[in-house]
Amino acid sequence: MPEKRIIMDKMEDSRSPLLEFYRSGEGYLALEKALKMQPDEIINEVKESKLRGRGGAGFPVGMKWTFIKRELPGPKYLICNADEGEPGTFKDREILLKKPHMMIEGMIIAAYAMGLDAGYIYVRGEFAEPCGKVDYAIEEAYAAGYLGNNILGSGFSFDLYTYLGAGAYICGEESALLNSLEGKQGMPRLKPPFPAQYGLYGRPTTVNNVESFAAVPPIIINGGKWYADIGTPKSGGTKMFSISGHVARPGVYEIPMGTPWKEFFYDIAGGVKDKKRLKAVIPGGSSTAVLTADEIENMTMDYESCIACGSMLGSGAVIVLDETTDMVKVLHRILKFYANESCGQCTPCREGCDWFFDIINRIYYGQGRMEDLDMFETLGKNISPTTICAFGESFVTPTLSFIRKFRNEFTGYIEKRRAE
Amino acid sequence: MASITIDGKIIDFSGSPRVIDIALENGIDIPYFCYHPALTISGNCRMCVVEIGTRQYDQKTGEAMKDPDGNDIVSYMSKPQISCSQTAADGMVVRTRSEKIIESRKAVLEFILANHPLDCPVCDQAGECILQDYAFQYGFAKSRFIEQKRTYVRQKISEVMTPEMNRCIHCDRCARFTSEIVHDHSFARTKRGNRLELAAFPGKIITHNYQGNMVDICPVGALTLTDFRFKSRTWFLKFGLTLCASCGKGCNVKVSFKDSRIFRLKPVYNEKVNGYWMCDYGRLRYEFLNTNRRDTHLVKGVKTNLAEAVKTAAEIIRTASSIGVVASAAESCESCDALFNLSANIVQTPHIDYRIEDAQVKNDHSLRREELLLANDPYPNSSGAEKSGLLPGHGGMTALELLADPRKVDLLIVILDDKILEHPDLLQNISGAGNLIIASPFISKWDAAADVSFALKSYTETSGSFINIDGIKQNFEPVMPPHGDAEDTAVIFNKLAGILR
Amino acid sequence: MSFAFNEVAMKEFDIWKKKFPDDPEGRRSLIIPALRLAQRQAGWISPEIAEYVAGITGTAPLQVWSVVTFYSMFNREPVGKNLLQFCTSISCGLLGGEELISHACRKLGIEEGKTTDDGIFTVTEVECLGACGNAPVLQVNDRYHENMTIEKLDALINELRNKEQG
Repeated sequence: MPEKRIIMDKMEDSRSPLLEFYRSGEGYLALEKALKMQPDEIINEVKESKLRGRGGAGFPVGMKWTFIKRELPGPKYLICNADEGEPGTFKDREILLKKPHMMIEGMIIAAYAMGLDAGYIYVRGEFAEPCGKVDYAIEEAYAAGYLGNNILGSGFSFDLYTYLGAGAYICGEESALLNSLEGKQGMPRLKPPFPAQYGLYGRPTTVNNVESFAAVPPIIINGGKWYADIGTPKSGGTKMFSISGHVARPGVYEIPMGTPWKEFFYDIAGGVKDKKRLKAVIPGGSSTAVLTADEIENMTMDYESCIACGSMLGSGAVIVLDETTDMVKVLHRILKFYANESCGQCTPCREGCDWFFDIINRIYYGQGRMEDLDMFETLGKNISPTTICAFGESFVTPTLSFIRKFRNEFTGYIEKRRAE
Repeated sequence: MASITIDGKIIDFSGSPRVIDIALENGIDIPYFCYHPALTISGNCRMCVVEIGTRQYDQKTGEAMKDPDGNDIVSYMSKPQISCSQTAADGMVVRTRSEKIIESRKAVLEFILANHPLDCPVCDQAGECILQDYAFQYGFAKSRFIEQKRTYVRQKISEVMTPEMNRCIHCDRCARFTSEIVHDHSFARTKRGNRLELAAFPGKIITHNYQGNMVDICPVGALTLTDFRFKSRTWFLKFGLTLCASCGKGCNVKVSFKDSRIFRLKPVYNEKVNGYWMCDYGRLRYEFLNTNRRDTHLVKGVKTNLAEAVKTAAEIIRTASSIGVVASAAESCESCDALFNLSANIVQTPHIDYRIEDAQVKNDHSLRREELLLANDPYPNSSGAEKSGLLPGHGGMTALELLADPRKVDLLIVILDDKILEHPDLLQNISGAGNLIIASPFISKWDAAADVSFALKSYTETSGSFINIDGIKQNFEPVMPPHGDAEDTAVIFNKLAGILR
Repeated sequence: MSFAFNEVAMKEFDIWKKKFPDDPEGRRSLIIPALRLAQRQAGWISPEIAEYVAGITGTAPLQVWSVVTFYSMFNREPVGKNLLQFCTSISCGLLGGEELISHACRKLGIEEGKTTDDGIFTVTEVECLGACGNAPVLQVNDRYHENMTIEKLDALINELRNKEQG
């Protein structure tokens, strides 16, 4: 199956971010149509589309939209999570840079469907340039009457703002994002209550990913069923996959859910760089389990198949590792990332994450012991179930997958006591 | 009415209580660090985890399904849940001591102890440290952590507390206390991850009047009270319950002492008076009870027994043409009643008054500005003294008038409490009184000049009651033995009344 | 000399104020934008600057300081005119990110985290910048430089140095 560029349609054109260009296609036709629909109709279309959250959790978007109680008094908020920080993920940046209007249109439709009053696009602090593009697009949208009061004469009003973060991966977690938006440290909140009951400033709030919003306009124009039919029974539509590492043609590709891995990797992305042999693939960003070349061979690019192969699709961030890759070094770098990014709030993660890094650091620099590999297992078992958010799982899962599937490399370091 | 089952015990409840509260109120022990009933839920320590489950019901009959042993079949959530943030629901089934939970708690302890320095031998908290207690309960003799422990640079954060932040377990109770109870935002989390540090603003120190409470609620020895540092191991101290007498609030306190020396005060929970807290001013004001204590009665500076002193005093009172009585609101209601009886009924003088401080003269029952507990009135029993009637009769002089010129009366009777002794300027004329009878728990420079000087027990050495600024009467019992021959104030005045009747 | 927003920063701050509710909670949201404006003006965030931000947002200094120390993009020490932020996370690490930063340190004669004596360059190692498809990636102040090579790095350093000195 070739690429199917629904969101990425005409992205390569340098005029792509501009309102005029967006409108020369189907831009804002979905909004015009949506404003004439009933809010519940819109939510049903999104449910039918089987669109699943594109940020990494894969939670059905349509179902999430039913959690907000429309009859509650305002203000109620819509948040776009543009804190793209999962190592290996770079698809949202493309949308922010080149198709901001598609995301904005999706947000307006979402806000109308859920009866929300104002929205914030939380952009990670390093994305100053993409945020600038979004700011410009928002200006254009206000000028054209797509934002602000009485949008297109519908009686519906919606304000939209951007917000820049300041460098914290954990702010990609939706409740940490809310705390960050409130001007606090980006520490995740205890759940329940969930954002739909207690979100920004304690008000009802819905949070979705950039790509999730961008997928909404085509769903409204063509119908939920059309979108669902593109994918698999459980995962509708297309997904933008970021692929990087030892791959011949790194980049972002939009393909139908269910595309076989082999087609995606070899035909579309060009296979392993420099014609080397494939060793392993991290399929969904650094928080997911690594798959060996054998394990991923017959996988299809959708949530269920990835789970069946022993990992998770996550944000769709594929990192390719060739035969020259030192798996111990890669795990060392992964754990360094997590140790830097842990918020430090809860005991198992605050102590456990740094402990994990200390262990891999010792192994990497020749001070490892055999029992260290068992320690990863037993400590990991104690971290995952009791953390406040999924960060705990995010560093335990890849660690255990690396040491189980490439154990000989780790024992090699331990036995050789490699000197730096 | 709803019910919840915890470890097999069925407990009824109403409203939306937390699982941890129901458990603790019903004698079911759940360990915790970051939870505190007076603070918002933080849920960061993960120690209070329990298993939450629901009974399985037969879809057709609606009956609870049972296993071969006749027990309810319960399906538990796969992940343990923290009980501090879990609201109880009707029909909920909770397990607090399953193997999974015990392992979970051991894991939390292992993680906390990983970076926690082995300071027990030099840590003030030892003996009243819940980390020690839990580690002992859950059996931690050895740690698997062989890495470098995380340390912090020592900062000065306060004049009242000495921090040892390497011991910090990041429960955030101290930060929540300063922002939620004191509304002061002077101590909070900074940085992130393993480097997370509870700290003050660079270069600033914490100045609020409730820092001792931060030391109390710190589960470990990360925050220590400078005043108590290294003074004594807690297991060598005895304790007793009484009230703080440094202002009219009457916070309930626990006195820790050894021999006849008080080492520190800590607040005791009282829902109506002080909640969980006390102020630093009161907490650190106990040394006056330890020093300069009277232990004998004196007649013209010569040691004598109580009977002689009473006899001499009664004679002076009988022959005095006019008498002024400066009473004290540091005395209990019972002492005040005895003094009133002697002064108003027996001797029948109008010159009786307890009011020394401005706040007493103004009948001020309010707290000092921006204070949580510290009252304007430094006396613990102004309301009691007032209720006992220790105010000037018709044409009577006030205490301040009597003290300003004691020669206006033939005999001046003064109770020298700790607070009036802090105003030597008020007392500078009393040695010029014609006749002078003083009564005090404390040694003063007027002991030699007075015709009779009675040695009183302090309130910590006797029983009685104080009425606080909110009108609440609180009883107290003796906590420590008296010094030498010192006697109960009421006993002395009742003896005098008896002789003079 | 105490810190205050210059005219440009104040203007931008006024725009930010309109984005949030006009109440204490909404003003607290202004902390991060205000800190960014302050850092753009002063180059870094000192405790004094944090106190200024607390003043204009109606928050306590420590509430601002908690934020300054939590987020990695706030500099707590002065930095050079060009903050060279090298990503060495997984994909960039696989494609030479570490060699790039080592080269920069050697060429500029400084350690990671330090600033050159002439105040023109600071070299830091950062986490994933979200542009992995064009690894290795370097961020200089606000701008991304992708598909970096040693040659490109040398050229960039020369260009930036000339701009400061020329």
